[in-house]
Amino acid sequence: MTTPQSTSASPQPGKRVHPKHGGSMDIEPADRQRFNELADRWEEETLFLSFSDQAAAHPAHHEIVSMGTRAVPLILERIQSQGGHWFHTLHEITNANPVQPSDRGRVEAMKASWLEWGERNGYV
Amino acid sequence: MAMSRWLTWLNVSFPHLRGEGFVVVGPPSIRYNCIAYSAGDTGQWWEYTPRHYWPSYATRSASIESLQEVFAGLAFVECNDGRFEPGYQKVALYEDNGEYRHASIQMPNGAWRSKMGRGPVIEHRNPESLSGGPYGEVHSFMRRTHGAQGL
Repeated sequence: MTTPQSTSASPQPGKRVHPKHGGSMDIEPADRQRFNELADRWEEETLFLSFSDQAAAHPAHHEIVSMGTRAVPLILERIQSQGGHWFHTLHEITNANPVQPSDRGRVEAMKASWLEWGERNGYV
Repeated sequence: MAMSRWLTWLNVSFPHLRGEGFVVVGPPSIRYNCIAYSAGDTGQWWEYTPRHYWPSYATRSASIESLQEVFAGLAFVECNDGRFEPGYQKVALYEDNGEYRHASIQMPNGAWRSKMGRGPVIEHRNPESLSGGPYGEVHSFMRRTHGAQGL
């Protein structure tokens, strides 16, 4: 199993640092490539699973979660372009839960809530 | 994912399907899952976790008993098997290690339909066609008279 690429805890000169999550807003190409590989594998191999806890047990998901907040903008970008069930992952990384109780299970509304949350928190 | 890709993946994941055959009757969708489909809802994803829809009358738990509560609230009662009985609609509930994994619903012609996670809806000959894979085994059957709605 490949370990995800790591980035330095200190931001490089010229990179913006978000005041809330303290991470670099720029996405490292290695992070993007690793995330895309893991995300493709995870989505394919969990396609037929019917609940998120079971899908979250997949090794590729563990690796994505281990990327921490570096994965958040990549997940939000993927949700925006391809959709997908990334709500469990986002919650596990950020501990946020921006979806209104009345929208739980309504995937389009859940997606919109997370994208709005991402924008508010500087991830999008 | 391209159709040829998920068809291959379907055959790999569910060994009995290959021999018994199946027909794709609905496209992949992330909007609803097998529980929602069997409950007659294609508008939302039914799951016991706090982030998804789960009927308020049922316990939020991964246990098979919790899933039975869901269908009991929809006027289903436990029955012995999945044999076709005119006038009744049946669901098959699947579990693995005490946790629910899947639900299939019987059609008026006796065939069974399953929404495969985020994938397509397929029609298969019997509930056991999906056993031995990620859905575990058929745990129980429930039935209701056609037209019954429940809570």
